[in-house]
Amino acid sequence: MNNKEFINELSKQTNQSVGATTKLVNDTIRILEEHFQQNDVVAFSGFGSFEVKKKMERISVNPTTGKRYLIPPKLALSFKQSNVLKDKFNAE
Amino acid sequence: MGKITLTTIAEELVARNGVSRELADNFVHAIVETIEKGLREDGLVKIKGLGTFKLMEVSDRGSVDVNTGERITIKGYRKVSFTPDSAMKEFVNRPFAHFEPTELNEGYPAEEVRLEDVGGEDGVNETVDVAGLPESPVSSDCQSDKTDDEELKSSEENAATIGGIAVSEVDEVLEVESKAAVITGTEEVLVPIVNEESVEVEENEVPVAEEPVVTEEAVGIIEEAVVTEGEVVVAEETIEPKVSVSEEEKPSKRGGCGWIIVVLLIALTCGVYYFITIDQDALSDYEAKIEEYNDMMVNPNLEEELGEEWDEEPQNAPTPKMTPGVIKSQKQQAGVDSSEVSTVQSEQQNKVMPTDQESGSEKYCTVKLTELLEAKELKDITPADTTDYIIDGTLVTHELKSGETIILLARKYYGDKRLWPYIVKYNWMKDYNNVAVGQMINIPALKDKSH
Repeated sequence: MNNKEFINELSKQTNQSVGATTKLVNDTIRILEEHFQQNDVVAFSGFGSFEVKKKMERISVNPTTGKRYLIPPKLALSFKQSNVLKDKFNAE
Repeated sequence: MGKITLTTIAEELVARNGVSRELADNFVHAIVETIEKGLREDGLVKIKGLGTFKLMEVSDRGSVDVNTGERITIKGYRKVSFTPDSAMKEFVNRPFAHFEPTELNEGYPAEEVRLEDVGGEDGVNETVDVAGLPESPVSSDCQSDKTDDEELKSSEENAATIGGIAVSEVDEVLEVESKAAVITGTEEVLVPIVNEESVEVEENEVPVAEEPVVTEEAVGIIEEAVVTEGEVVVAEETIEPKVSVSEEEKPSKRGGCGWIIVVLLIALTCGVYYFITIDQDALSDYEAKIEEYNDMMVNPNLEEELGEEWDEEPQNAPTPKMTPGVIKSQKQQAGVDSSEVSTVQSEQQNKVMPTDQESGSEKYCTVKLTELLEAKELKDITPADTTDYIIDGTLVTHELKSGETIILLARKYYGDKRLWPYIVKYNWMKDYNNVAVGQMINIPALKDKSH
């Protein structure tokens, strides 16, 4: 399911026009971004939770050249599925 | 830093978009439902600006019960994975965006630096320097001894060309070997007893005597070489010591005491020869050895020359060792026997000898030399015939069984064990000696480059 199909499906479910749905989705994403920026844990109950995690810097080696690089620390968005979701997909 | 739920998001959506509370609530829940639906339909939902949700199969895995220590199997399951899309990734990482990966300098580990500091005046220490820095290019190793470096290179080239020379008659080899022995003998006028021994050795079975030593050396360096008993591999190794020893000799040209050490080494060599002559087991390796020695000859003419004036050789051979400024032509002339003698020396050094007289410096040299040899080996991973083949995908994946080596694999799949470096290269192996039973080795398909 790509973005277009997703929006179509969503608009059907909420009885909104596709344009309005797109706007709502974008707004939702903006809101999510704001929370990510504040380091909040965003939990969709029954689905999973999003969290921004800090990855430490590390040294990696390019296997072809053997050169060593220092990879800087970074913030990465991670998702963890909830147990409810896991059970849903593993029930069958 | 709090926990945000769908309700909070709905509230904020109301504030932002001006939609009714009811719609916002419905909408947020609809998002979750739609994602679930999409995952169920085709296992993938892509949302622009957020990322991709994917349904992944996690396979069964074995584990150990922490309490009972029993082996248990954790059953596989399906999980929803999420990959943020690049826009989201960048946004989240914005506080750290100014960081960039930096290349680290190839800083020498502390010990090597220390050794280098010591090095410079003493020849032995110089060899340590070279050995200590196996990965760095040769040029960076020696700032002080450029000439040595050049010599090393030339001798390496020699070795390379020598490898190409076809196997000639056995007799010639025998001749040269015996000559080498005589040379060592005459050089040891200082040590008459050992001299006698060497003559004896020469009369008995010089070739046999030489051969086991080399094989033992091979054991020291690579067990694989012994396993395969391959001439080519052994040849490669002997070339290495040859080169490295020529390095090792150069210092002795400088230091006066180095000469004495060389003489003592030769004496020890002969002593060990004498003992090893008894060892007949190695006869099986003999053929390989002969070929190897043929390979080591610079040219066939030289053998004849040697045959005529082998009495003079001893004077020729030691002179380049003594004089600090190396007379290149002379060295090349005497190249064969000096290199042979030096090979023998290196062999001696590789083994810890029972008849060790000045064990202190001897062992020092031994350690150094093995280090040096290892360093050379590492360099040698890059195959000499890289130009001939290019790697063209994976041929098969081989699971290593007990007793198999990379070299054996090369023989099995290519019919030529000289091609083992390709396998090593293709599998990114750091240490091709260190392979485990059950390890999966990708055998690259090789394509002739010229075609």
